[in-house]
Amino acid sequence: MKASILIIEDNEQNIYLATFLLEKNGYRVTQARNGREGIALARLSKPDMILLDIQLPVMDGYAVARELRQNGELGNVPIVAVTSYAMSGDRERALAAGCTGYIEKPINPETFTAEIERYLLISKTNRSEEVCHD
Amino acid sequence: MTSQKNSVATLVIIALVTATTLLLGAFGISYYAYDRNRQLAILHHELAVNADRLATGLAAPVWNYDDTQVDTIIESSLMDKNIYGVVVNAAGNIHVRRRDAQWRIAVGDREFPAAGLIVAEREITLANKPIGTVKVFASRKFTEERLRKTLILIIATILIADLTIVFSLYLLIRHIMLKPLKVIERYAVTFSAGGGEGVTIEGSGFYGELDRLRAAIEKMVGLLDARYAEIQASAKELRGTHEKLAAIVQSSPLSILTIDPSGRILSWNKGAEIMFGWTEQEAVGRICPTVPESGLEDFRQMVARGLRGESFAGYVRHCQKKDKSLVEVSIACAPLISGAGATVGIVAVLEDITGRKQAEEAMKRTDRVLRIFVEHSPAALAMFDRDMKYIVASRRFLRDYDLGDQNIIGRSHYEVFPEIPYRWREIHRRCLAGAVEKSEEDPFPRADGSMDWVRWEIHPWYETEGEIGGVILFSEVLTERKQAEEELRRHRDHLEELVGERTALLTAKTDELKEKQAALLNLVEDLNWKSEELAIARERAEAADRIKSAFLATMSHELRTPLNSIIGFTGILLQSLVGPLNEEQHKQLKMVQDSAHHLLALINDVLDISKIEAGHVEIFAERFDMPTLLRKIMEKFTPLTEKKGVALTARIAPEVGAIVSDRRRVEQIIINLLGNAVKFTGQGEVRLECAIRGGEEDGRMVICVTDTGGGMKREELEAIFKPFQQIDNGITRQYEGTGLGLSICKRLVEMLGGTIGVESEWGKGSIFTFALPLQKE
Repeated sequence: MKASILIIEDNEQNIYLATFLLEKNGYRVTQARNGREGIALARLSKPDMILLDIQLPVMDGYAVARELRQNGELGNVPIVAVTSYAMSGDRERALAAGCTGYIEKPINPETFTAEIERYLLISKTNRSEEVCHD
Repeated sequence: MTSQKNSVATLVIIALVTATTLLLGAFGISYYAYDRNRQLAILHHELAVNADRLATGLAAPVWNYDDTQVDTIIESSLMDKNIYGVVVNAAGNIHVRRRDAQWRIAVGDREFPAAGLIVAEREITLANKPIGTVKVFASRKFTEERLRKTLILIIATILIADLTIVFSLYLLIRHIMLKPLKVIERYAVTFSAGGGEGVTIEGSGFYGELDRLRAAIEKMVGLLDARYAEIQASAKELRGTHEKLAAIVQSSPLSILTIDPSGRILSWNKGAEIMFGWTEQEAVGRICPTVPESGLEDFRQMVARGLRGESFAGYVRHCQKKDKSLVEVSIACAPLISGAGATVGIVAVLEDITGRKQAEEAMKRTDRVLRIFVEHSPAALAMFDRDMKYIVASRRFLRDYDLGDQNIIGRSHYEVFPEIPYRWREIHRRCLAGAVEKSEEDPFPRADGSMDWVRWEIHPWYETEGEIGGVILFSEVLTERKQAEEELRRHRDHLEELVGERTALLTAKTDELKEKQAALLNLVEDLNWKSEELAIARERAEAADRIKSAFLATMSHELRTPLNSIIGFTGILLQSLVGPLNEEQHKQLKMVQDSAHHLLALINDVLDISKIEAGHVEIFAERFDMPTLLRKIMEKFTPLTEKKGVALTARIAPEVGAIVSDRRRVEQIIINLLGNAVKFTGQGEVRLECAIRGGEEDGRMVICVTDTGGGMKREELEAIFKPFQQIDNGITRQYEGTGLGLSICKRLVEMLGGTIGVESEWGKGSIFTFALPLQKE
């Protein structure tokens, strides 16, 4: 069975776009419209991956990432920032907040799912290594 | 052999006589045989008639026993002298009559042998009763005699005929053949004895073939005469040529010797006499005296090669003179061929090259002196060949143009200075065609963005054949002088002003001083106020700048969000994830996608430029290898240029290596410039060049992008680095772009401590050049 992915995104069209692409490729998708809701859903559904917009109402993406990382159970879930903040330093800030990866908007529909696949693979190998260490 | 010496006449006569003799002989023999048969037949017939007549005549006497009558009849029959004898047997009574030795009639008593005689025997009958026999004998004696006479007659006739033929033929042949032949023979003898030129064959009596023979011989002799004259003429000419050749050999300043297979001198010309000191009498017959002791083996081999039929030249050897001193010669050898085609020795031609060597040395020295003279000349001088490659340059030239210790000899002027403007290249072309051009003050925009002022003069230089060999460039960099002059002028103006002021000040003196003090106080107050105002203004301006940057950053983000949807959904639709599209839908969606990508590029560039202006761009200096980066960029562009059919070449000078700068920014600049060049070049080539200028401390890496695209007009060049300036509105539609690329490049280059410039000629192409310090501070 394919991985489940949580999308935290406030723009209706963007969430639809990402959901469409992912479901088309067989992923199970859950959606959250703001950061708070996203954290709650993450705790509840324990997704295999979280796609996180940075500019969000209520609390921004950086804060969401930091909070998610503090939660023990979700500490190892790959969080990929999907953002239109393209200024230099934005990427670094996202990674510093706890994101695993960074996809710049506008997304390229031709490569988007391949990139998601790659991040899932990286986190899976990382996790198995950690299990071995334990 | 002897038969050939026999006269033709004798042979003809013998043949004819033989033929006649045989013919008449055959005829005579057959006639003789015929006559003999006839005579013998007559003899037999007469005998038979006699015998019959006797038998008849004797019948009565025998019957009557009339012996006397019998004898009388018998004797009467012997009247015929051919009858040898008659024997009659008349009933036992035998009557015999025969001839004695004298052929008289004698009475015989008995029968006699019939040897050699012809016999006819008859019975004597009376009333058909035999009464006796008669035998008549005939002798061939007289017939034989007659036949003998006939034979003699025949032989005599043959002899007479033969004699007649011999005589008459002799006369005939002598007259019509031998005499003309004799004439011809005499003529031939005379001719071969050497007289008889132009003589014809005299005498009449030439008939038929002989007459033709005479004509043929006369013609042949005529031809021989002509041929002989010809041969004599060419022999004379040959003698002349030979004499001329001998004179040339004798008078030649070269030594020309012929040497036999054993190495002995066969001939020795005047040149050899002068070159080596031995006279011809002294040299001929000796083993070649010029060969020193040590060179004998070499000499032998040389002779052997010549004898094998080889020709060779350019042997340089030392030869000794009569006075034992040595002379350096260049030797050429060839086999000496006799008239019969046999190799009978060698011909050697020796040239004294001591003088030539000295001349070469002198020339080299002149060349060296000239080079030193140019190199150390206190002016900036450079000499170029027809391809504008350096032949020699003065040290001053190298110093003035910051070429350091680079070896520029043999390299192209345009390779050393890629920034040389088109205008100058045009001038070089004119000078190479023979023009002399100069300028007292000419700006030279350098690759590093600075501007030099130069005074220059270009002359063509000529090869000895009168062809232009290249150009000589005299130049003087005036930049410093110009700056000094400028400064001097400013100083002078300032000084004059000062003097004026002083004078005014002196005249006004103390009363004005007070006024001035008051004014000064006011001024200071005013100034304080003004600077305060200035600070506020600056603060406001900075605030406005910050607001602008923040606005741009936000705008960029806000614009990206809807673009995400546009690009995303367009992509999904184009991938046919939702369902198949028809052709028109696909085409239109593609247009939407292209526009969206263009808009995105625009937003990125606006963001870039606003970040730069806001000072938000950080520079990450690192050490990286420039050739590697350039090759990577070239690879990226190759598919595009191949598709367009534009040649893409890189020329990276060998000294280019690592640089300390921001790799990503440098890449961005080069990609931008190359992208522009490829975009605006429809055909021709795009060239990327990289070289190092200056020394270790202040070294700069210069990168040039040259294209053969449309080029730009002078007024466009000035605005090219300003934002949103894509040249000529007419072209904008043809070449899409944001119009921000070059202004971003300029700002990035400046941030990296470098300079950027452009040279372009309308319709011919452009050269973008930027220079970066090798070490980023």
